[in-house]
Amino acid sequence: MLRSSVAPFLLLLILTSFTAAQTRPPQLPSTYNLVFNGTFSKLNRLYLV
Amino acid sequence: MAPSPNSIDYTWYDGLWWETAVSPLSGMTTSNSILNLNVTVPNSAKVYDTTMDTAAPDASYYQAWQFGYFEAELKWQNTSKGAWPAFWMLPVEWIEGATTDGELDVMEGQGGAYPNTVFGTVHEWVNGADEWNNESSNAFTVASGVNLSQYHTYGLLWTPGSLTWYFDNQPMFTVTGYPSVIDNQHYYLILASQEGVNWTLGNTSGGKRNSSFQVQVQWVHVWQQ
Repeated sequence: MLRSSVAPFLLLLILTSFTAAQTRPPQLPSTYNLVFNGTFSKLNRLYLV
Repeated sequence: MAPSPNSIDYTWYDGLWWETAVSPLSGMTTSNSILNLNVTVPNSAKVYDTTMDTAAPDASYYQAWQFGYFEAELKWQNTSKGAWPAFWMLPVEWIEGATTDGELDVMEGQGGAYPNTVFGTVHEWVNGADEWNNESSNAFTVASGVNLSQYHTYGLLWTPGSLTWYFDNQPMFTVTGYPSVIDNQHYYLILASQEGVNWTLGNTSGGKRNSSFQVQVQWVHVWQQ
């Protein structure tokens, strides 16, 4: 069930990314490019009140 | 709408925009470049999921996409009753007030009850009601010898008018003919370790109370033409 209010504070997670090239899945044609590379080498936390 | 600037492309936010409480921060950790999403039930916050996503709860910043290939490598506790892992997507437009919205579930699991089954679902929500879905044909059973408690790749290829779910880079099933709203919205990524028997968040009946459910994620990728 949806609720309208939002948590009183928010946590921002910043996860740094590797820069290594990623392998395109074999089912994708070469016209596909990586636009989001979510890896989890480091986690920083910043609290927003 | 305000897409995130490049400087915070890899920002994730905890919880979903409608949640009034978020899971304990201790449930989100990284170790050796692996993300651990852990939910312990019950907990003091009465929260039954540890969730993070790429949209701020007010949509002030987000990373969201229309069409593409969405994939993650992850593992989960497939034999633990109540374990409910999810790699899914919701549209930014919903946060901003749209009353007809899509939902794309790249993968979900039901620990214990379906230890060898992967679910992939598309929904159309109208004023909060599930008006259309492919739940009559939204699952596949993995081959003998494949253990979902080990790392596997789960993917969804979304092109105009077509959704194809992949497991370890192999196509599992395709859905077409879904409501047009699905193709007209922009979806952000959601990773979650949830607790819920029989698809009911917080349902611990027959499950393991005072236990933890963990989802471990190696990476998440989005590819686009």
